[in-house]
Amino acid sequence: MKPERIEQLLRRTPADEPKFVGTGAPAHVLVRRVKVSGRQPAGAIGLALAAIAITAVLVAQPWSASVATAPVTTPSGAPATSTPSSVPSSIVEYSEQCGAVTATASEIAATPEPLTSDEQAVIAEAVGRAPTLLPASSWHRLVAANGNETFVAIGSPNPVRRFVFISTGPVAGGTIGLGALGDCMPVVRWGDGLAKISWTLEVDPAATMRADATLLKGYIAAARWETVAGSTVSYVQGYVSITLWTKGKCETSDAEPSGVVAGCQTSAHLVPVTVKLAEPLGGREVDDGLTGRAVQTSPPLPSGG
Amino acid sequence: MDGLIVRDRRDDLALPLLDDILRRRGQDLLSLAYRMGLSAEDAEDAVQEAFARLCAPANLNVVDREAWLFRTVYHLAMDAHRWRRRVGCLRRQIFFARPTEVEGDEPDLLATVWSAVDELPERQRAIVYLRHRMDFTYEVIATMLGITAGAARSQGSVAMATLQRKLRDVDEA
Repeated sequence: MKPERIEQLLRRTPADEPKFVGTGAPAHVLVRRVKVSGRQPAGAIGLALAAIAITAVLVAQPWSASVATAPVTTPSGAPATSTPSSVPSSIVEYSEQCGAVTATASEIAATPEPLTSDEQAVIAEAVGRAPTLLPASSWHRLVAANGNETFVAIGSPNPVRRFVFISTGPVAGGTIGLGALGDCMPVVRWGDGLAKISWTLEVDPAATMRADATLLKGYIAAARWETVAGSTVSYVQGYVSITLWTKGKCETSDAEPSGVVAGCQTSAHLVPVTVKLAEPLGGREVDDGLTGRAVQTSPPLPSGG
Repeated sequence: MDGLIVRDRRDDLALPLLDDILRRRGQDLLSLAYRMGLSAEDAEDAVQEAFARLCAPANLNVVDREAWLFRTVYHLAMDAHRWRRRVGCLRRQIFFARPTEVEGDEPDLLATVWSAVDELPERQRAIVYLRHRMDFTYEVIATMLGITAGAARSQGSVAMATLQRKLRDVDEA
């Protein structure tokens, strides 16, 4: 066989390679945040706008995602209250993760940093990927070092995120947006209006694929984050995102000990998994994580807790 | 293995970009892991593990995420125990060698060539895959594998010479 012929064949995909099926875009992104209204409980000033969220991203084609979440409660069981109506004077007040940010919100809003055409092009490219998350203009350069830059803007058109970021970095032939970073929301420590909630994972019984909820739980428990432990989920930070990857297997009686089954084509199938927390949604709402649009709102809890 | 990634909120907005990489490169990463000798299932796990690691806070500032993912998948595959890879290769040939989709009109020829690739040393195998299947330059491959471009080019040449020698007597229909 001639070298050219070998190279030609090497460009083609042999039939024995497994097919990657986890290629769908997130079918649904849900963000749950505390819906705040009513009176302000003592000790929770400044924290009440904490958006406690679970983002469950289910890459679940062709199935539709089904995610249910339940609330985070205050220590007393009363709903969190009071929504700050104004942007804080400094992003630094908002989160430890914004510790490097020295610009104030008013500066960002009023005096966008003059950007070069290259920077504008990179930002436009990143904005184009997530137009519901990132504003098209008013970007402020925060950090520039070693070819990497970070820009910040007021979280518009998505007001749920008060500040949004884009990081850029050099690659061969140019600069690309590396990622849009989340907003600066208050870091909420354990006990700051939060309580542990028992949770379970439920799999759509119609799905024939096996999903090992125990394993999923174990994966959570093994995470280094203090936000999750054991069979309960506690929220230390404003947002916790959970991406569920569940993979089905062929289930036959002649399976090998290794789990490989003769005659079965193993491929990743992602099934809808319901995250159920033990408490009702009372006083909170479930938001679409990408648009911030409320997709489920429960009746408010009685006031006076 | 089922998996779950716990991210902090900074990654929330990064999801569209990661999803884009997953959509464009998921199959390529899976094929690389598979070609490195992992079973189909282990290859999927390796790809998911690579994405999970990329989502770790410590890796938020990775500049070239695609190259990083290829490199991580490569190292995950290399980290697998050698005997396990061999058993995996054998098992794959037994249980997964049933073509489900005929690629063109020369599936046998294609299988012969890739079987020869599978017999190459791991690094040469990775280079052949990344150069000829993925069409990456040797400079990019060098970045992915943590070697110099010269070494990548040299190893690629050795690999192709080996393939030519092994396939010299293969007759085409």
